[in-house]
Amino acid sequence: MAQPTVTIYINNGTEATPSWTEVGSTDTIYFTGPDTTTTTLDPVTAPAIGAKWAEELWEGTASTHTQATTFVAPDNATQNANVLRVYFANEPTSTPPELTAWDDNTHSTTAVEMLAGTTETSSTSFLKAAETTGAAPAQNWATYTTATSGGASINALKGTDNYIVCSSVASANTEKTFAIACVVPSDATSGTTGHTPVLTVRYTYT
Amino acid sequence: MWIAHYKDGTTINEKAGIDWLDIPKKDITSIQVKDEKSGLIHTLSLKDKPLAYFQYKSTLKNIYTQQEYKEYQRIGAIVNKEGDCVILELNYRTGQVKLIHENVYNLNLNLKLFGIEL
Repeated sequence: MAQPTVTIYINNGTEATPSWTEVGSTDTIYFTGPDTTTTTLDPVTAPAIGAKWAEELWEGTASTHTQATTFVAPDNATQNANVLRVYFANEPTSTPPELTAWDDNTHSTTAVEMLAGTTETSSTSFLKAAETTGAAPAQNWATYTTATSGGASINALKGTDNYIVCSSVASANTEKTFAIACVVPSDATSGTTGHTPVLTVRYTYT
Repeated sequence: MWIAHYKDGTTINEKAGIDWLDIPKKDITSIQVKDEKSGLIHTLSLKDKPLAYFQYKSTLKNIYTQQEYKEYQRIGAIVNKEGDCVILELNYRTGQVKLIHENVYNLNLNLKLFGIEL
C-alpha cells in the first residue's frame, strides 16, 4: 500500500543549481554526438579503432529534446553528481533502489548489442553508471570495460548481471542521483538496432 | 495482497487499505500472499514462532516511459537472531511461488523501517 511515487529527471541546470526536467511518459533518453540541437539529434560517430564515450545526453522526443547539461564523460576532469535524479515521494523504499537496463519491457533478457557488449568492451554493456547521491564520482570512474558482477555503486548496466545498487534505502521525499555514460566502440553495429534498451529503476515498498 | 492471521483468530488484509508497517506484529501466527490474478492463496506458517515477519513488493520503473511493472511480492519470517529467514515470493507475472532461504542482512532490508530488532 505504501508505494512511493517515483519520478525521474535529468538536470538541465548546473551542478550547483540543478534544474530538474522530468523525463515524461513519451520521452526517451538519447546519448548523442556533439552537434545535437533542441530539434535535431546528432548520432554518435563511432571511432575507427578502439572505443570512445558518447559526447552528450539529451531527453525528450525525436523532434524536441532537452540537454542534460551536467552530463560529462567519465574521463572528464570535472565530474558532476547531479545528472540523473530519481525522486521518491511520500513513502520510503524497503531496500536500496537499483538502476539497471534490459532489452525491452519484458525485463527478462539482455541480449541486444548495447547490453551484451562487443570485443572492444570485453563483452560488457555499453552503459556505465555510478550512484552519486552526496558526491560526484572521481575522474575515470568507469572504463570502457567496467563491469562488476551483481550490484555495485559503480557498474555496467545489464539486467541482473551488472547493476547499480544504492548505498542505502530511499527515505520518503528524498532522491538518489546518478552519473551515467555510454561507450561507443569501433566494432559496434551502425544504426540504432540493438541500441535501444530500456533503463529501469527497481524499488521496493510495503 | 498480504493477509495476516492472529492468535485470537482475527485477520487483517491489505485489501482493507492498511499498510503493513501499521499493523500489530506481535501476535501474528501466519501470513499469506494472495495472487490477485488466479485467486490462489499461499501460506507462510512456521512450526516455531519466528522472531519477526515482514512483507514487501518490488516494482521496475522504466526511465523512458515512466511505466511501472510489478515484479514480485515477498512475505518472510526471520527465524533466528543471526537473521536467517524463510521467504515466500509470489512472481506477479507468472503467478509462480518459490520458497527462499536467505539471510535478512543479504536482502538489505531496512529493518528499522520494519520495526525489527535482532
